[in-house]
Amino acid sequence: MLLAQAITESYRAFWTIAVGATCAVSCALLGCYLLLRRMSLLGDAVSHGILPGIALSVLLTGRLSGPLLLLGAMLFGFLTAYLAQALHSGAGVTEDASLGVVFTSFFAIGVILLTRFLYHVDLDPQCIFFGMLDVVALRTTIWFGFEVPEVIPTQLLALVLVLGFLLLFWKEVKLAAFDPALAAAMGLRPGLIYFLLIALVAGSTVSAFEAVGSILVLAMLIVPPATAVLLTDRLAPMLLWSAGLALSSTIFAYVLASPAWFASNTAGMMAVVSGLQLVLAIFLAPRHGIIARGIRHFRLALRIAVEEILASLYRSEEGAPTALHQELRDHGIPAWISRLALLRVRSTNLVARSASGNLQLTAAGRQRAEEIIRAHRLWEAYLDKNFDLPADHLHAPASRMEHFIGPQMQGELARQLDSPERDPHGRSIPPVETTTPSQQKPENEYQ
Amino acid sequence: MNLGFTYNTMLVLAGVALLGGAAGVIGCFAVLRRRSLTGDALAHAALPGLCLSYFIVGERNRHSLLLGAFLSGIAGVGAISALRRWTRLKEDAAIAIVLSVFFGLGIVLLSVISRIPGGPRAGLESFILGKTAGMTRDDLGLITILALGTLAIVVLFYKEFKLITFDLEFAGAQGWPARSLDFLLQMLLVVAVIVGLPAVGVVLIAALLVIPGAAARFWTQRLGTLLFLSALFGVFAGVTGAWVSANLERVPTGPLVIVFASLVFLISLVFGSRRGLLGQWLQQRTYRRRFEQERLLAMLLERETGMIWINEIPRPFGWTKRRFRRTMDQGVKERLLEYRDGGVILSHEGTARAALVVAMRRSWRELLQTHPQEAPALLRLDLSSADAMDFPLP
Repeated sequence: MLLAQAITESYRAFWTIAVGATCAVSCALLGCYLLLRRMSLLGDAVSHGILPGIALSVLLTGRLSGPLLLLGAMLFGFLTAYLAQALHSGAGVTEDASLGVVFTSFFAIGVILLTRFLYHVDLDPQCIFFGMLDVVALRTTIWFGFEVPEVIPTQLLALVLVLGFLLLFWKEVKLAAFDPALAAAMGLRPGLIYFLLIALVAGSTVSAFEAVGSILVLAMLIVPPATAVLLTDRLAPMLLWSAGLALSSTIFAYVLASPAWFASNTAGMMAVVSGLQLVLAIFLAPRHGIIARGIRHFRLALRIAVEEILASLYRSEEGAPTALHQELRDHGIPAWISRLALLRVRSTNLVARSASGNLQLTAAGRQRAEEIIRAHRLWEAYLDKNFDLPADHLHAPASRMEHFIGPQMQGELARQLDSPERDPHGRSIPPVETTTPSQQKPENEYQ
Repeated sequence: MNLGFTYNTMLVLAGVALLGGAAGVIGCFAVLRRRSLTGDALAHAALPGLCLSYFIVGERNRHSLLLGAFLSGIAGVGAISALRRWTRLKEDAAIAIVLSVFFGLGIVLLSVISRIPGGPRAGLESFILGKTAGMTRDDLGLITILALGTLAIVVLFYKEFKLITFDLEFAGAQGWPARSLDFLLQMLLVVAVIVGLPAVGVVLIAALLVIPGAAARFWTQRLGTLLFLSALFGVFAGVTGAWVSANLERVPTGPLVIVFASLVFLISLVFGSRRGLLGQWLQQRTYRRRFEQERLLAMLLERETGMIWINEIPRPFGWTKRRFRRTMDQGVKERLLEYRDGGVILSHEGTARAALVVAMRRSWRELLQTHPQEAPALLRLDLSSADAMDFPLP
């Protein structure tokens, strides 16, 4: 008895996840293009705009499934996109407003059709708006001799169409996603790709709406691709990430929505889980995450502070009056970073404390400082030669640039300026020491 | 026909009309700030707040529910700007994400609530579609406060709103607290969405915010007129929608209001005095006819015989016979052409005009040849300004 229950339970789990995952994955793949083309809200518009199509086909056939439903929904989905585009380009309505006008009007018409003429049809509005993923797995049909949920054939068809579209038109789609104008110039017909894309969005939306509802489809279309775009900079990995995130959101959502946890609506939980995945990516993404960016900023700030300290000590050796802490503050470096930088220069033996208690450059420190001073003064000389700036306006930009001019750029500047010995203020520019390899400095660490 | 002006109908009529007007004014700013769909996102984002306040307060206290919705709407606005500021996602993606994830959270909470004994049953459907017919005096009171408050704020800050609507950066540079004013506008949007939600539902409050403003854009470019028209359209859609649905069976008020708003939009789209389709078409037709006439005049001047047979259709023109005849008749009517021996010749006036046309064309050609880089700008000048440029005749 217990075994039978367990089998029923896992059967239900399998099919619920399968239904959720097929529509989530096909939506997530399509969504990548919507996101890249900045058409995310088109997904919203299409998923609302298909309602009259659904209502009309239910009116004709009397049931909430079948090819006519798919056709009607695709027709109205396409009509929504087309009319919004026409209003924008033909009548000058702004893009967001034209989408808003068209899809809300269609939605209103759909609701009126449903409530006025279809009150007798057994049609649960909850199903249209929020999806019934939890019961979908239980309504089964026989397909090729297997007992599968009713919606699986349509959804598999949608997934196959999406995958086929991507594989067949990979090159065209890629170009159309990033540069439609170039695609048009190369004769790749981005208009046709756009047309197919809209048709597929409408098709996936309608094949998914029974499971997840017309509003949560938007979460599947946009949230996994938005997460993927934070994780990678290339299209193919983005698609894979997007599909993988869609799959994992389905599985986690099923677990979290099960009676053992929150016992809630699974489709809603899918949206929540993909939202959580997005939040995680916002913080933890390797390149674009807030933490990674924070670490990069911190390291850059520390490096700049270290370099400022070295440069300032070098100048004081030249006899210039220095007020180290004041200078660091003037550069906008927070006090705690300055303190860390001081510790750093001491511990890496770039700076040592002299017998009289003053900070002094060590040999290694002097070499490093020379590089920075050299960058600074070369840049001043370059600005002076090529831009008509007063002499007292050279220091500030050079103090910013000195941290980003590596050995290669220094060489280039020196070549263009015929290896000057003095900067515009008459101070000497330290020469390159060819015997010791200069320390590696990233040319463009911070963009 | 029974007018059906019962007390309840009057209540609904007044409520929807005031809501339409207030949403029209606020939505107008949203449309101008290209934020039309933020209202949609906010409306969806209100659901988790509604549910949470139900959890916390426990009973169905109207005001706490509204407060919850308001707070989660603000959280939605905050999340949209946070996503734009802290990630590489664009505005459209941010709106879509907030809309769908908040809504998903709301549905999860709602499905949990619905298992609490004595919990609300049909909350979801009325959240989506609204329950206009069930409007109470309390609702009307809130809507009235919203409408009057909106009116007062817009009148008070008219100049400031005008400035930030058209150039936020400039307003900031002029020393106005542009960000705070923008925030105030967004708060008005949130309040309008939350107050309107129980009446017309999620999608349709978004429509009330967008459609009147977008329709008014077809009539004027002046902000004051725009706001007035937008409010007027909102009120009109509200009144007609509520009145018609009171007299029809099984037609929900909210969607019907939107349908009337869309009707106003369609009428504006076609007949609008600014960029309306009919106006555009008429203008194009005038240009086209004038262009055709000038072609005919120029051709007559350049022909050795100085005449064109009525039955002849000049080959390079590619016109239909009807079009050719019409152009000829019009020329005769304007005394530029004269009928002579089964054809037309230039009249005295016509010769002068044709000479001018030919000279002007030559000047244009020279100008385009000598300044090819200016061609796009030159081609954008319309014919009347070309007239005004007064080219020297050869």
